[in-house]
Amino acid sequence: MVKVYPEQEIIKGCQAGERKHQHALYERYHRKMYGVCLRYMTDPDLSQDMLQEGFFKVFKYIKSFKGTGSLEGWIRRIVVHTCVEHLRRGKKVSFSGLENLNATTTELDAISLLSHQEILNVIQKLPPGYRTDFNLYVVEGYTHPEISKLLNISVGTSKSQLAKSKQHLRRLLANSNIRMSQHA
Amino acid sequence: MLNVNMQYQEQHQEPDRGKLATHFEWFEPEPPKEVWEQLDMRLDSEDKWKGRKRFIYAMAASLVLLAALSFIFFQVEEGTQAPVQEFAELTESIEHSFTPETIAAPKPEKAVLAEVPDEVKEAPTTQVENAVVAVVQKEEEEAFEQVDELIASIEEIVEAEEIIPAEKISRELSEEPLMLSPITETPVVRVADKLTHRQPEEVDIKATPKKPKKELRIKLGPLQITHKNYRQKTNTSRS
Repeated sequence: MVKVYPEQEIIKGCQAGERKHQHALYERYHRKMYGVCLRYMTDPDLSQDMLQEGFFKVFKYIKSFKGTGSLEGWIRRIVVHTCVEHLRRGKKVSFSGLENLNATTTELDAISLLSHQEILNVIQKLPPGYRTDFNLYVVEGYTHPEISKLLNISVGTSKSQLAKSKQHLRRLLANSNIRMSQHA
Repeated sequence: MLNVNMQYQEQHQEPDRGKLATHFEWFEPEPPKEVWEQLDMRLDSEDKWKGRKRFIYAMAASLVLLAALSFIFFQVEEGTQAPVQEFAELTESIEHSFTPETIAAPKPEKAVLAEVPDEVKEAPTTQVENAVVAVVQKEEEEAFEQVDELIASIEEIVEAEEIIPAEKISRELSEEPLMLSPITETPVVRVADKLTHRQPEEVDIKATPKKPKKELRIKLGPLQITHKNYRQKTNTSRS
């Protein structure tokens, strides 16, 4: 049983390299971060690898954490960047050019009515490029310029990826017999 | 008002941004415990590597420090050894040059002071110096006069004798052994008399045995040469 420490004590302990505080930090945030990893990686083993890698980076760079923002947000950013970096390094993300797509918000309105497990199943069925852009924009709340910088693509490509991912979601929802009219 | 308009524009332009964030807020699947175990092992190895790195850095730093200290030590030692060696050589040379044979026994201070007149002792320093210089000059002049007289007497003796060729002398020398004792007595006595200021009448020249002429020439030959050299030397030194 891991002892519960206050957040400031955990931060100071991790900055000093104390293993018990590192374990406490992991215990506090590892589930949420595993959920983040699962949204980016379809393979659970790969998600666990990303979770481990993300926390290793957290412990490595926690000395640079000034405490101005929330610790959870800082850890989440590191984990997301770890996943995206892995996808980029493995060239599993393919991005196409901007196409004239009339994407609407109806797909997201429909998907928002699903449970998070159902949403996760749908997202994991998206192609890697779409899934990454969709996660970063719709779930994490990144802007297109931020995504373009993170994925080393243009802003237009990021927008195109998002539109394509929505179209893909519509087809997936149709196949899953989830009718938008049902939720309307 | 401006902020509200901007928020509206942002929402209107990007209506889907962060739309599903709240849906995953409580999405917390449990990863296997192996994740932490592996992470723990990884952190352990990282700590060990850090420890090794610190040890390597410490060793490297100590080696560098040791090298710097040894360099400084040898520099200082070389710098101090050179003067010591020079001093030792100088001491050795001084010891060789100042042997008991080369060092004359100093005259006792009392004896020196006894020679100095009372008026000189009481006179100021300059007067003492002048008096000393005068005494020395006087003694020198007297000595030169005595030497001149001695040389003149020797010349008279030499002129009165017959000069034998050198070939004959060398031949006779090879045939007969030298009889130096009777030959050298007369000039030696005369020179000694001059130096000791004895009166001529005190020396009984006739009482001494007469010496062969040729043997006398042998002894006087080098004396003539010595006399000339002496004149040359005295002339150059006086000029």
